[in-house]
Amino acid sequence: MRAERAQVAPHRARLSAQLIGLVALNSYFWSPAGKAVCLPVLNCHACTVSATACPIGSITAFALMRRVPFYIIGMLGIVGLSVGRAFCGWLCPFGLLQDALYRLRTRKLRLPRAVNWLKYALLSALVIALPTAVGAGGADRTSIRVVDESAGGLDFCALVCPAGTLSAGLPGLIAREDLRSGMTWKSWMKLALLAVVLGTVVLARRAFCRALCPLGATMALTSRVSLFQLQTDPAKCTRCHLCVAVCPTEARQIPNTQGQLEATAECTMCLDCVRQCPEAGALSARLAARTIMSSRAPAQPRPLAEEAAAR
Amino acid sequence: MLTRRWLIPILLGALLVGCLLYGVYMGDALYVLKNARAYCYT
Repeated sequence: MRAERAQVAPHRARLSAQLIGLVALNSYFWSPAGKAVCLPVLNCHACTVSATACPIGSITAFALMRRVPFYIIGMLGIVGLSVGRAFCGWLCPFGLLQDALYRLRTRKLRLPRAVNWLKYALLSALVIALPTAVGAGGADRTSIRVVDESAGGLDFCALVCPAGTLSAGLPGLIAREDLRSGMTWKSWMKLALLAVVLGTVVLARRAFCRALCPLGATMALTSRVSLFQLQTDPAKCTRCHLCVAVCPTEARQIPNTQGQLEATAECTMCLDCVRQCPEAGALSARLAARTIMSSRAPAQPRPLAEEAAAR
Repeated sequence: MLTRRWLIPILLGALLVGCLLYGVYMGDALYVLKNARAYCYT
């Protein structure tokens, strides 16, 4: 199905934040202590230069130990309560890669909304249930490698994660002959999956975030209680649906009544909708009680607004 | 001024901070650090 969506130029502030995030999250000199911190971005901590610990890998480690990850729940929960999934939209390096690949001029596709549920299944099965079921539980807490080997690597990180394959697996395979000679069917499967994911995100915007990212699934649980929310002014909104057209994750929905949701849990708070809204003050982003960004009337009619009006 | 609107975020925030501190107390932060560093190829 061809996508009838509008593509917008990258938001300079967001692109800057993403690039700063890419460098900061992969700055080796932070990593000695930084890897005690779990930020909600998909940045594999198996990569030597990774500065923080991946929450998914960390949750998996706790599941293998059959321990409740209070520390990770607290950290992700505080971030989610504060800014929802904004880390997905503004800091995640794999999100940056997807945004960049989508800008390639190819035919674009629209993913059915049903794929959004797949990431919850992956989170439940490959991050929580399977590692808990096969984990060593009660093993020596410092015997991390023993725990992982006993579990057979049946988890999201070992079987699926394309971010890990790209940032840690591939460099490791290139640099070390012992890793190349030790490649198993799982290694080839992950490489193939990486190729499929990268190919898909060229065609469908943020396809991995929508369909496969268990971290996105985790943070989506906080989207409704987050203090960072969109707000529509019904008196000013002309229901042109431009905000819906530019949304990269098809999360935006124009509320019919007061109190109705402004976006689904897929919203990464990229604020492209606020930027593109042609009516001043009709759509804004609010953090707690404060307006962070509000739509402004364009100085000149924008091509995207004219196309939407003509539809 | 505290209103009902802020009650849930405040309570939830307090609960999450409690989780975080409890996790630190139980040594979870150290475990996360050790696990992340153990997975490095170098």
